[in-house]
Amino acid sequence: MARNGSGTMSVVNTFVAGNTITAAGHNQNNTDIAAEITNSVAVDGQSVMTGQIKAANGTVSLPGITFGADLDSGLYRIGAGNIGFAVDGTKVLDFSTVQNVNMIPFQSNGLLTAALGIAVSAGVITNAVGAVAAPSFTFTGDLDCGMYRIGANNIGLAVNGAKVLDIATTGLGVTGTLASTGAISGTTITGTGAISGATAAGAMVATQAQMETGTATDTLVPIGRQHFHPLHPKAWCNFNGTGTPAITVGSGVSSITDNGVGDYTVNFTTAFSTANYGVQANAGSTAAGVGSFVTLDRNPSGVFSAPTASSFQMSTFAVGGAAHDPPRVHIAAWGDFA
Amino acid sequence: MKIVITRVDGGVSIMTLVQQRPQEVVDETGETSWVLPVIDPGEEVEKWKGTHPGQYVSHREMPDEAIPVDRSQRHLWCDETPDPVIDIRKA
Repeated sequence: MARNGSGTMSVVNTFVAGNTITAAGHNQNNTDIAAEITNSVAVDGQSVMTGQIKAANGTVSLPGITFGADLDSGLYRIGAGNIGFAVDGTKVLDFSTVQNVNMIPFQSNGLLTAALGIAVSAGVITNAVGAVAAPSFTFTGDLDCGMYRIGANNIGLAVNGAKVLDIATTGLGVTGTLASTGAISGTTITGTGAISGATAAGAMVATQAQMETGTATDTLVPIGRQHFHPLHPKAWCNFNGTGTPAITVGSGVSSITDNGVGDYTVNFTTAFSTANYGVQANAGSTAAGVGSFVTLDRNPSGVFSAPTASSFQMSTFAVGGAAHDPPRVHIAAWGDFA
Repeated sequence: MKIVITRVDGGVSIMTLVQQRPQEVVDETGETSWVLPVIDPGEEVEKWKGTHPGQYVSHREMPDEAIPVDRSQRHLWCDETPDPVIDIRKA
């Protein structure tokens, strides 16, 4: 071998002027040269490499492995365990053990498998449109489950070949039950089926002001605010006036005071915003058939008593007779709460 | 328990407090809770005063059984003795 293992070749026999050049020495040199030419790469592609090609590291602008007509495109060594592909002097691919593939500008920290129909350009991966029964982004072993394009600006998610989610510029459509352990919020939530949940909150629920306005038709009325509606009584009760008055049934009344025969004062649990509220009051007949009538804001003697936001006085009389205590006295009040 | 209010005319008004239902309360953070309102006798007397200006003299609590069942002399009821009962003024 004329090469020393590092590629350096030396001449076996050297000849000195004035000495005889022997055929054997001459032939040995030529044989050695022919052997090393055979051991070299033929530029026309005749040779097949039997060992590694140890290219220069190169740079992004002058890659180590490149092309005669395009010297700034090719493969080069970026650093230890890191090689790159350059095109027109710009890195377009970066291979390393940290990032398996780094496509500039698209980056993937995992394994990127390009399959037929997938295109990557300018940082965008595009795929076939797909269909509900065969989504274009799907999973091995479950090919009818995944994402597909329904139409312009409209994508869908399919499960078992059926659409379960429809996303468009108009919003999100769900086929089937929408379940959430957290809050569901939105400006507009509609459904052809039931909307159910543990609680409702936010703008879905009517406020006191909305209840008092009484015009909204797109909000839920919570139990604790329905009484704010102007048509809803703020207080009502049915009390027995034959003894010291006792409420039989009612709500919003905090106390009833017996001032005398047929003379009562009713206090409200929550005060109205003003004394300008409406009261409907009447009284039932006695067991003997004696009818009753009611007057407001006075005592049985006719002394006026101005109502306040939280209280009013009333009197009951037997029809055609004097003040008396009816067995059933009914009152209801409407108005605005503060 | 009744609240007996003595008026300037010497008569008494017998106030019955009403058991309340739970009410919604919204705090400053928007959190909602439910409370069972407790009726304050003092506040109820103040409300009564609003519709009976100038008629209030005093008030005190009495058990229900202290209130007479017979109302035939209702206009003579008064609260003049220290005993926790309604007195009947002699005509």
